[in-house]
Amino acid sequence: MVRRVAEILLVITSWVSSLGVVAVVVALVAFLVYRSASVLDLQLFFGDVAWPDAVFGGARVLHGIWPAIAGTLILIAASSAVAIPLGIAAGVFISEYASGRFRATITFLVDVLAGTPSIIMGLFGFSMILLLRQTIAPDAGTGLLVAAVCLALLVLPYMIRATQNALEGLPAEMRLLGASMGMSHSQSVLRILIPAASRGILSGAVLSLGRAAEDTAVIMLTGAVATAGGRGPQSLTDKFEALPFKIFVIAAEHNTAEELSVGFASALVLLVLTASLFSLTFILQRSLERLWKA
Amino acid sequence: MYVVLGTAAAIAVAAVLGMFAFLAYFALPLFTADGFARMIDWTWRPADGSFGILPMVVGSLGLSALAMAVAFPVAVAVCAFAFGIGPRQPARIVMTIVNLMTGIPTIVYAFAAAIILPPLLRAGFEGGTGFSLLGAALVLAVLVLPTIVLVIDSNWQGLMAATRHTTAALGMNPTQHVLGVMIPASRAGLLAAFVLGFGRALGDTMVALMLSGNVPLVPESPIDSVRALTAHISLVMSLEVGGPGYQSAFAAGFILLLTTSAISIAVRNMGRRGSSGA
Amino acid sequence: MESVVNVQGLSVWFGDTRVLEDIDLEFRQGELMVLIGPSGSGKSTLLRAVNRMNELYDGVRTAGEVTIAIDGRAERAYGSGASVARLRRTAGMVFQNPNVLPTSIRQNFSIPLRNVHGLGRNELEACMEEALRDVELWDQVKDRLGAQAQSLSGGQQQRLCFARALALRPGVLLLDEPTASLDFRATNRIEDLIVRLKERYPILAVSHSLGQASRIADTVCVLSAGRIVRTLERSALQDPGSVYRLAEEFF
Repeated sequence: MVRRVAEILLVITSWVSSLGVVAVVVALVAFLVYRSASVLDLQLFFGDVAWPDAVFGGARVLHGIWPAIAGTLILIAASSAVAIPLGIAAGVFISEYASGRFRATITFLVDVLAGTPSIIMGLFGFSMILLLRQTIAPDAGTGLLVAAVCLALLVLPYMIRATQNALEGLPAEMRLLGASMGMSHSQSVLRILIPAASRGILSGAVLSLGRAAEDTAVIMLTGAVATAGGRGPQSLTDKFEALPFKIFVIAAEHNTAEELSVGFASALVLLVLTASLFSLTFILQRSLERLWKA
Repeated sequence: MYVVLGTAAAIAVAAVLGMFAFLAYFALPLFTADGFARMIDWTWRPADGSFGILPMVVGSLGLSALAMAVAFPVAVAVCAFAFGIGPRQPARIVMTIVNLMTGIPTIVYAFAAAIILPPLLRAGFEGGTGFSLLGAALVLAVLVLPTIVLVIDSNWQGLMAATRHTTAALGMNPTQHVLGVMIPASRAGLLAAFVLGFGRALGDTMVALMLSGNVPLVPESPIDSVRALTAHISLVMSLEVGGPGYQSAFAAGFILLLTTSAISIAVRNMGRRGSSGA
Repeated sequence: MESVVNVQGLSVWFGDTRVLEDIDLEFRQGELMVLIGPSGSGKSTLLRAVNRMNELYDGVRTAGEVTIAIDGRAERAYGSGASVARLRRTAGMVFQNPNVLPTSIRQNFSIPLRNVHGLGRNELEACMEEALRDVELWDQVKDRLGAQAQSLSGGQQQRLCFARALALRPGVLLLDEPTASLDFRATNRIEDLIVRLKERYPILAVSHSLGQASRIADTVCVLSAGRIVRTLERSALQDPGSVYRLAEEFF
């Protein structure tokens, strides 16, 4: 009798929960679209400036969200330029060259880093600038470089893990292949294993891009500002605008209904950006699995 | 090749250790008896010289615990749906949507919730500003749900393949299979998922910052405002430089780091024990 | 009245591929029927068609009928309104690889028995003991019923699977190469068990070995490319010459 009741309860809760989760997601997206509909036009992005001038000509946009978009794009490019090569290299090293205690320790450190709250990375960046100011560089300040480095720290574990998993997921025979053809270990890694795992590695890179694009806590403490001259950061020490931070500022300081709508529109733009990146990751992962499981 | 890659790995390791070292350096002044005692206090009122961060510790724990109390059962229920209770097509759709949820930025959840939720909470509960433990915890629950679901999902894939034919031949329907075999047999995996979700909730900044009210007091009811350690760091950093108030951010960061590292270690050990015990 | 299982005009498709073609056969209590044939001939599919286990796979289509008559009452497995869960409880199935549940020995019984029959604690223990005695496992495990089922040897695990199936009081037994993963000794014990059980239940067993079939079967059905190509009685299998010719022809 108790069994019956438990079974019925499980069926009910599983249906309700699943429908509820789907409803929340659909409602969220619909809500965003609904509330941003009134401002979704070219003016949202570029204000009164012609878009080619803004994107290619460096013209300043003072009443549009383009600078924030540009800031985010430059930010993820800069952080990825550090994190992706470093992450791939470290991942390859851990998977193919390290062993035993050494390997376990590095993997452990990567796990700890992965579980660290993002605000800690921001705190680190801020305190690093502070230290520089107190010692060798009294003019040091937060800006693009600091933020990019801290973001790189944030996404590094994802990149390392993705590379590691992609390599470790390769069939065992593949590792014997190179040796059987007379290749050295390094040649085998470079010419056989990495290309074979490339889809998984790529998926990790895309994941890193997405993660860097969405983070707010790190950039809040390392150089993101509400307005930075109407265009993307021009140098590594410039302060910058970014989409997630812009959304945060609007939430805290909006005065008019239109400003709020701009906030929703920014959220929608950011969502489209990250959702596309994560979907791409997912597709790449699936195609990798299909390749090696078949 | 070894040299090149080894250097890269060394840089990565150095970066991690360097980060912890930096924070330790800045947290060092606290490790005097005086500094420590100041932080381990229940009152945060900088104007009066009180810099206790214990209310924030309670705030963080309370937020995460309440979020998990909602998110964990829902996650298990969603997995039950996806692993037999729901029809094949809807189950696939639900899992796809959960996967997509991982691509929704935290700030988007926080922003939308910050606009909708406070008026609703003000109307629904007498008193209160609408920025509360409850509101923030509910949004946090939505945020961490996909993490928990995906961990359970990867755990259950193997278990499903190993047991479904057995239970089907014994005449057990999918519900009985989930209830009688899947859930009991995956206790270790469920625990790991819970702990991971808890860690994720602890590490969030934006939801707490925008929805919990940021009042540095221990809550007496779910509709009271609270302040999380993460939000505290953000607030303090943007206000003042130097002095004990500022140092409390490092104390908070230190506590957070210890806790999340412990969680990472715990999850690791669970994984290791699981695979050797099977 | 003895129990009988009747398969009529059974065809099974996986997607566009026809795996079984127009199968007619009958097996009854007291006569052990063994299916043999080269791999891919459809033996396991035929076995699984009796308790509708094929339906766990995507894209399966079944035509024809299976009628199970127990104590005079006949039921159609594929009839409209047939309860698949009840059908599967009526048919006790043992798989090629022992598939004990990843839990204790006792729970391997209690989970299906409680779930399915709603038995109380005492009835459960009695049922379990009876089944374990049937397969001659009781004395070996009675003191460690709480131990992990996976800690038993391969042969013991397979006997546990038999016991588990028997505990559900089936009407029919379906065995899919039950000794394929076992050593010589364990195989012998299981073959003895099967011969003992055939008096109580109609048994359809798939075997990977012609030798085994000739040892235990009363009737042998040879399957090739989804069709029954030969049916032999026990007597035909006792002559080594004809067995050899059979092997040549089909394997």
